Amino acid sequence: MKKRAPRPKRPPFRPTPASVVGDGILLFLSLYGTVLSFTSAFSAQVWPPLLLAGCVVYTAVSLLTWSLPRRWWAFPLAVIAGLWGLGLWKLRELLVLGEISLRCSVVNTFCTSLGLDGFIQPIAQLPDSTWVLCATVLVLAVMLPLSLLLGLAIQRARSFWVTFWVTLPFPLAPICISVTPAWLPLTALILVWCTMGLTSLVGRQDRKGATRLTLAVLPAGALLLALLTAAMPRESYQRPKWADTALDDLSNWATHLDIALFQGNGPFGLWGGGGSLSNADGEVDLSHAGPLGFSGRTVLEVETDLRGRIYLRGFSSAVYNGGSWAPLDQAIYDSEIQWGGDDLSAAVSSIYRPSMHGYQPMNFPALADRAEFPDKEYAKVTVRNVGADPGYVYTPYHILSQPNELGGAAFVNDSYIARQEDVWTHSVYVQPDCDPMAGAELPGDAEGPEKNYRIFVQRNYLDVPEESMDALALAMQEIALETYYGSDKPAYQEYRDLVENGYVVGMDSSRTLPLALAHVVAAYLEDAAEYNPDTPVTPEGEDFVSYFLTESREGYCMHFASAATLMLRYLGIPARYVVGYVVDVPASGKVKVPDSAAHAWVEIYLEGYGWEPIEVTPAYAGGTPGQSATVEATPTPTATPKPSATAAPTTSAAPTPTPSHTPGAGGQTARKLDPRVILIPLAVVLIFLAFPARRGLGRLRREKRFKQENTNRAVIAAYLQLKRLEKWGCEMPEEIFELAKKAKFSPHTLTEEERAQAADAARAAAARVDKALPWYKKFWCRYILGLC
Amino acid sequence: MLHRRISYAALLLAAVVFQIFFRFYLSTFTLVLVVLLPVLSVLLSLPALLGSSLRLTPEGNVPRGGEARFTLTLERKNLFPLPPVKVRLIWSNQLTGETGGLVCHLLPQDGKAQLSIPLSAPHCGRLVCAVKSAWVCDLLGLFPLPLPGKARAALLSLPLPAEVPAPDELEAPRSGGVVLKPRPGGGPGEDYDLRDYRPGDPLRSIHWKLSSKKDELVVRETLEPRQAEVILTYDHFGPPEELDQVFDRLAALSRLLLDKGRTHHIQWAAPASGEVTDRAVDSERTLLACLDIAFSMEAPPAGRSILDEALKVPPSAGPPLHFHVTAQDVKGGRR
Repeated sequence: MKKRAPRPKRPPFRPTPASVVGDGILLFLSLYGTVLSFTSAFSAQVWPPLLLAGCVVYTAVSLLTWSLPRRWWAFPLAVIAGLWGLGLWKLRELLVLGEISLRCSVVNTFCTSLGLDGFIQPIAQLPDSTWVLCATVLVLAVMLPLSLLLGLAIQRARSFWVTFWVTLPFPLAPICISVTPAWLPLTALILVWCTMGLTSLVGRQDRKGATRLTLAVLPAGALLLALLTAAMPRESYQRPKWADTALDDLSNWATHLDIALFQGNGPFGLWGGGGSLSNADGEVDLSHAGPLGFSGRTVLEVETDLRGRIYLRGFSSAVYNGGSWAPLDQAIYDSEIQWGGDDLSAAVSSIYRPSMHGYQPMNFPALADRAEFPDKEYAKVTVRNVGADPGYVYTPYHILSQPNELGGAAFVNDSYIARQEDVWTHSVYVQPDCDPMAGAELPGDAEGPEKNYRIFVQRNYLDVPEESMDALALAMQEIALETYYGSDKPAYQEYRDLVENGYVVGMDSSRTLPLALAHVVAAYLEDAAEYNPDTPVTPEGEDFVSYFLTESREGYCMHFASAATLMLRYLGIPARYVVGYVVDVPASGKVKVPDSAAHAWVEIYLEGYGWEPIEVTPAYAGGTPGQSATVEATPTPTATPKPSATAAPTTSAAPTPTPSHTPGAGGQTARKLDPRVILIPLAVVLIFLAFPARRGLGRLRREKRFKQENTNRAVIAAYLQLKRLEKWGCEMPEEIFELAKKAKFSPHTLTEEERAQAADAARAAAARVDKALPWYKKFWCRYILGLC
Repeated sequence: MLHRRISYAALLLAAVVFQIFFRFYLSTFTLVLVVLLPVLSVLLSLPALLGSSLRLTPEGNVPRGGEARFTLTLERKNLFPLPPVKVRLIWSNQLTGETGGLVCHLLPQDGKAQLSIPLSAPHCGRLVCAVKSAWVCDLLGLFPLPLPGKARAALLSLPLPAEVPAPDELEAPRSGGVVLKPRPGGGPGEDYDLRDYRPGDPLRSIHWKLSSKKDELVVRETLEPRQAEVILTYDHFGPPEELDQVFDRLAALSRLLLDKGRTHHIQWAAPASGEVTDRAVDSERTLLACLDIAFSMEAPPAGRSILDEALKVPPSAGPPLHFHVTAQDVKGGRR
C-alpha cells in the first residue's frame, strides 16, 4: 500500500530568549487586539490603560506558565485558578455591576446599529467612574483564562487555527452588526493572524527557525499593515463598484432562488399555486408599516423609449379594513362582471352580469388617447423582474397591449397583470402623455364596456369603513374651511374656480371635478401631515388612516395614499390604493430600479376615461403619474432618483431583510419571516447528517455481506471490498486472492475461519487506507464512497 | 501543499464575500491584505531561498546487485529558516541506459537537512544521480519557488567477483606467456638473433665468422626472455545481464593479471563507430578508472565488435597476448 509521507514530528519545546520574546509579542498583541477590539466596538466604558497593563501582566504570567516543562504545569495553573476564583468571589459585586455595564454597552450598540428600540441603561445610579471600574475589572477577569488559552495556542501548540478561532469571535461579533472595532487593536489582531499564518509552515518542523522567522515577520507585517493603512485612507474610502454590483446580483439571485424553491411549483412550494401564473394576493399589510429601510439592491431592470419619471404600476387594492388593503373578493367579480362574452350571453344565466367584451379597464385611458391622437408615437417598455415581488408584472400607465396581445402575462380582473411562470421579462406598448383633460374619448365599441365597468366601480370602489368616518369627516371639515376661508394654494384655488365657473356655465365636470378634488386632498394632506420615512408602526388596535389623520400626522407614501383613497371615496370619487415603483429614466433609456424606489399612490376613476393615477405623497409632490414621461429624448438630468426621503435609507447598517417581498405594502414594510425559511437550515443539517449516514450505511451493508450465511459469498464480498480499496493504494493479500478463487470456482464450501480471515483482511485494509489517505481523499472515500 | 492552497482560496473567497456584504472600509482593507499576503510571503521566503543550496554526494561504489546510496544535503548560508523542500531527482545507469526519478522531501531543522537516497543497482554501470529540480514553498505554502543550483553525483556499480581460470598462454614460458626481446646493451646470453649490421652497433657484437662467410657484416644480437603484452578485449554491447557477466569475467581476469604482476591493456570498440578505446591497467586504481570510462559509455543491445577492428598494440612490443572476454568464457591467446 502506498503510505502517506509521515507528518514531521514536532520538535520538543525548549524556550529560548528569542522564542520568549517572539511569543510574548504575539501573545500581547493577540490579547490586546482581542479585548480592545471588543470593548471599542461596543463602546464599553472601560479604562484602557488598566487593560493595557493587564495585557502585559497576563502575557508575562502565561509565558512563564507555559515555558515550564509539562510536568510542572499543574502547580502554577492551580495557583492561578485559585487566585482567579478567589478574585471572582471577592469582587463579585463589582463583576455583577461590570456585567450590567457591558451588557448595556453591547445591547445599545446592537440597537443603534440595527435601528432597534431596545436601548437599556443601568437602573442603579452610580458615578460613571464606578461603572468604568466595574467593567474594567470584569474584562480583566475574563482576560486571565483567555491569556492562558492564547498562550497555550501560541507558545506551546503554535497553532494558527486555534489562535484564529479563539480570537475571531471578539471582533466578528461587532462586525456582524456592521460595527468596525477600533483600528489599532484590530490591526494588532490581524498582525498576529498574519504572523501565525506565515510561520506555521516552518514552525511545524523547525522551532528555532520559526522563532527567528517570527521576529522577522512581525515588523514586516506591521510595515505592510501600516503601508496599507496609509495607502488606503479610511476618510476617503469608496466602496468598489463591483462589490455593489455583486451584492445586487447575489440578492437578485437569492430572490429568484427563493422564488424558484418556495414559490409556485418549486420543490418547496408548499403553499404555492399550481396555475400557470404566479400567485399574488394583492394585499397590503398596514399594521406593520414601520420605519423604512432598504438594501439598495436592484429589483427591476427597465429599458424604454420613455424618458423622465415613470410610474410602474404593480397592483391595486380596493378593500380597506383599518389595518390592511385587500383586493375585491373574487366572488364580487364573478357575480358582477364578466371580462369576455357579451351581455346577452350573460343575461341568459340566472344572474345578469354586464360584459366587458374583452376590454380591460387598464387599457381604457390609452385607447381613449389613441382614438383622439392616432398619430401619436407609442413607446415600448421592457421590464425585467430581478428581485421585485414575483407575482406582478410592473408596467407603466396607459398600456396599449390588450389582454390578447400580452405575452407571458395575463390581466387579473381589474387589479394587476400577473406574471407567467418562468417569464421574467415583459415588453408592453404604452401611449405616452395621456391627459384626461385633453378631451380624449373612448372609441365607440369600448363605450359600452366602459359604462358597464363604471357601474361596477361605483358599486365597489366607494366603500369607507365606519371606523374611519370620524377622522375623514374631520378632515373634510378642515378642507372645507381651507377651501372657503383661507388657503391660496393652487389646488384650492383651482377647485374654487371650477366650482364657481362650473355652476355658472354648466360645464361637464365629470373629469375636472374629481381631478380637482384629488389635488385638493393631496394639498390638504401635505399641510396636515409631515412626511417621515421613520414613522413608527401604528399602535395595535388603531385604525391606520384615522391614527394618521388625527394622531400621528406623520407618515410616508403608504399613509398618504391610504388616507387620500378613503378621503376621495368619502367625497364620492371612486378611488383605489396602488403599489409600484417610481423610476427616473435617464437619457440612455436603461435603468436599474432599486428597492428604495417602491412607492404607493392613488387611482381615481374618471367617467369615460378610466383609472387615473394621482400622486398624494408630499415627497413626490408635483408628480403626475399619468403624464410624466415622454418618448422624446429630452436631456433629463435625473439619472439618479431625486433625493427623497423614501429613497434614502439612512444607513446601510440595517438592511431590510428581503424587501423584494414587500411591495404588497408598497415595498415599505418589513416582511414577516417566512416559516419556510426553516427549511434551509433543515436542509443544511440533513446534508451534514447525510455524510455519516452514508458511511454508516456502507459499513452496515459491508458487515452484512461479510456475515451472510454463505461463506463463499462472504469471502467474495471481502475480496470485492479489497479490490475496491486497491484503487486507494491497498494491496490485495495473496491468500485472500486464493481464497476468493477457491470460493468462486471450487465446489467446496469455505470454513468459518476462512471467512473470518477474509473479512478481517478487508476490515484491516479499510482501516489502513483510511489512516493513510490525506483528508480530502479520506472524506471522499469515507463519506461519498462509503469504503472506509 | 494542496490543503494550504485550498485554505487560501477559501480565505480569499471569504474576503470577497466580506467585501460584498460588508459595506465599510474594513472589508476592502481585508481583501487587499489577503491579496497582498502571498506577496509578503514570497518576499520573506527569498532570503532563506537564496541562502540555501543543495549538495549531492555518493556513498562509495557498490557491488552489482547492492544498494547504491547518495546523500542529499541542504546547506544554509544565513539564519532564515526554510520550509520543506521538495526535490525531484533523476538517476541513470550510463552503461545500460536505465533511468528513473524520485521525489523526496527535505524537512530542514535549524536550516539544515540531510537525506540518504537509496538506489538499487542490479547491473554494472555508472550510476549518476542529479537534482532535476528543487522547489521550496513560500511561507504560506502557496507558490513553489525554485532552489538555485543543480547538484550531481555518480558512483560505480562494480562487477561481482568471478572465478576465471588463468589462460594457459600466460603460464607457458615459451609459447605465449614469455617472448624473447633484444637485450639493451647486448652482452652474453644463450639466446641470440642474427641481423644485418646497422651503423652504431658495437664491433664486439659482429659475428665475424658468419660475416666472412656471407661477405657482409652480420651482428649477433643477444635476446632475453620478456613477458608479452596482454590485451583484454570485450564487446561493448549486449543486454545488461550479458554485460554483467562480461564485466564480471573481465574484472576478475584483470585482477588475476594484476595479482600475477602482469600489467595489461583493456580495449573495447565503440559500438557505433568502432573506435577502439585502450586503457592500460597496472593497478586496482587504474582498473577502476578503466571501468569508470567503460561504464560511462552506453552499451546498446547490438554494435560493432572489437574483433572486427584492429587492436591497438603497444609499440616496441612483440606480439601481444590477446584475450577476448565474453559472457561465457575467455577466448584467445597469441594473436
